[in-house]
Amino acid sequence: MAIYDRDATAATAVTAWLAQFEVASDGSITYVTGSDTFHVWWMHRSLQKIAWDFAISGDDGINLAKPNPSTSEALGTIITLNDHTTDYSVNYTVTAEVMEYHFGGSVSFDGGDEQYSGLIVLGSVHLSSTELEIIQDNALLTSHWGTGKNQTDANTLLRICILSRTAGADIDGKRIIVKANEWFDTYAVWRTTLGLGESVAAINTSADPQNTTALATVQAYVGIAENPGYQLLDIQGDGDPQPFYCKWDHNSLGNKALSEWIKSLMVRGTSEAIFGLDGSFFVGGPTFSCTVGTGTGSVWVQNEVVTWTEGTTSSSGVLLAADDMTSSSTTKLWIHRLNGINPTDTTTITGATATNDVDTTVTTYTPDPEHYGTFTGTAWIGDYGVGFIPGNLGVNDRVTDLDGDILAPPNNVTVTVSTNGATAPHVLLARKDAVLAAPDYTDNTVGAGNTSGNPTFVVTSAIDPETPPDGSVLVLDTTGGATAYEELPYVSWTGSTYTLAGTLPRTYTSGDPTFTPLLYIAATGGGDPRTAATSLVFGGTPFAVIGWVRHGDPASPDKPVPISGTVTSAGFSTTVQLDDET
Amino acid sequence: MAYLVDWVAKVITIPAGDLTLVAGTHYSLAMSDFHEEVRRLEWEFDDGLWAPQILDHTNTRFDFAGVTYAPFDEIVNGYTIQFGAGPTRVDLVGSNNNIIDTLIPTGVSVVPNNSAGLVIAETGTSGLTAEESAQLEAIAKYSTNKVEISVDRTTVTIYDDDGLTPFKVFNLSNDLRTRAPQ
Repeated sequence: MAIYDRDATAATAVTAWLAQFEVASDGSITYVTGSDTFHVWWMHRSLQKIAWDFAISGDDGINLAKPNPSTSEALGTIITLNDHTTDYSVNYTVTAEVMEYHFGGSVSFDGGDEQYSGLIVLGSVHLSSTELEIIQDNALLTSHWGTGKNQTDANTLLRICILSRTAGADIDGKRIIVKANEWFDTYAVWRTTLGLGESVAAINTSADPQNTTALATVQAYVGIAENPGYQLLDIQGDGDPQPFYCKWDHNSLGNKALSEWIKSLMVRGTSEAIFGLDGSFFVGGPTFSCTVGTGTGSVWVQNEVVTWTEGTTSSSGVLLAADDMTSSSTTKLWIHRLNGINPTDTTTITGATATNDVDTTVTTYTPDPEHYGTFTGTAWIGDYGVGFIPGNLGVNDRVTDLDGDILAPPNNVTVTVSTNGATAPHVLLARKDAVLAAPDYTDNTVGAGNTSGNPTFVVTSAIDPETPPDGSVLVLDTTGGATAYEELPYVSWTGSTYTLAGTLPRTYTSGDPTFTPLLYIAATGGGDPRTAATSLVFGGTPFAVIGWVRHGDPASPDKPVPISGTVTSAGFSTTVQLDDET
Repeated sequence: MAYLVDWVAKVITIPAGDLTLVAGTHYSLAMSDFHEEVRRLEWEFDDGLWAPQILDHTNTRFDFAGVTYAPFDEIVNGYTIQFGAGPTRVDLVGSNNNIIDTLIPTGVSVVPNNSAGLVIAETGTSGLTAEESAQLEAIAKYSTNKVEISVDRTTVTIYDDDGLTPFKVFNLSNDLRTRAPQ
């Protein structure tokens, strides 16, 4: 197989071209045999050659008696086959099969109603087995290029001709998407618009250090969920949730597994769906958003195909998110465009049962080819609008909400005390007193309005941000003559208010001391080690804790074990051994 | 019944119902029961899990040379013990303990039954404080050292161990029947 680029030897290239193709007397050009490929210039030159000859030769039906077959512009990259049907009943045409053996420029025929456009893909790919894919008008083009074709220099991955206009109409405005989604490698996407001559796309991939698991293994993962649709996620843990268009859940398989799972949905040859769309056509996320008004109909349907007509261009896309699924209340839509062009102000977007008119603003996005953004191996750098279960995120992760704000999760650290040797150990772990080697028994005081029967308990000062999300607050009812701290289990807290698991058993007096241990629970488990654990939002400054593990079951009390240490950015963990004391 | 604990004031009240009646108002307290009950109280969420430990039981009973030695129960962290109304005498049985040292007197006679036996005394002071040791040495000098009445019979001098240095001088009365330290 030879590649005849623009600078090939003319005599050789023309001879080879004429041997591989037949030009019938009516002008139709068809493939005969051979595997050589030719710059479109050599089609023009070959046609000119036989149209210059006095005699018809070989399998061709053209000679000087026939009208001019073609014209060439732009240094042989724009070839036009002439249509002489009216005067000579000759129309020079090519077939798709013929064009599979050409590259380097465009070929127009049928008076411009048909056009093949040149495409050159520059760049490099990591795996030699990489096969580029081309999406045109929401369909994958059938590959005749395998792992590359017409690589006329080291930086060229592919040079082909693509039908971009037929029956007098451009195919999806001549827009195409070139992508490389090869397993084990980073993904790449390039959008371009074809035309006369040869258009350029650029693709570069490299080994993905976080994509190392066999594809079949990843495809066997169970339980990973995308949870699509507009939703508010409290990523920062500050009670102010922000919008995202999905909420990925790795189902305890870990972030690497999740990143590989997402890639598997979009890998070359996939038949999986992502956001209701064949993964082969999903190029990462919403390609535009638009503010809308004037809603009619009823409700938007998650992942439904929506349509609009912009000017005379019919367009469609997949609805990834609507800030309110009831169209009468919808103010913004996020859409992954499949074909056509973006809508503009007043254009009506239509779903199965709902419509909304675009109201002024349309914002275009370029989603990440891998959808999620970047996974470094230890942290996410989330792409626009991609959400995760907040509890699955760590302090080093960064996500971007649909408002475009970059959010950092709090440093949720775990505090764990593990015990061995006893069946029902009880654990106290609290902040250490600033001076004494003892818990700080007064980290707050009783606030106002704590009346018997209330479902909340109010303290004087704002609750320490490093307080566990649930647990127990202990109160010493000094005024009421109490002789011990009283435990009030809480299920959440905000500001200076604890929401209790029950209600206040009595009325408390302002100013009495309170403290909230990190742990005031039993270590649980079916056997050793048993665990008492909680979490908290680490604020950045390590702090000392102190406490003890006790097992006072009268049947066989164990020796109390003191515990102490420091809660750091890595949390706190310790293990104690309880021994019989009798 | 159960012990009453004022965890704030650190007062543990043991009611008569938790004692073993010996006779009349004479009771005994098995220290193993005391140990178990205190550990339970320290362990319960609605009692003293939050509070400092009451009892140190680090030195448990052990067998040595055919003899079983009783454990040591030490009330720690400032807790005090008192007995409820009823008993006039309580015998503490089964451990060496410091309850006597932490007892709030309520008219109850407490018999600790701590073991004595072989104890270790500090070298040089015979187990006494420095003050006690000095006093004992002085008594020995008074009773055994050289004593001299002055020629004019107005003073009596007790000498130090060297027989030369005056240790203590007393004035004598005229009738020689009374001495008074100078």
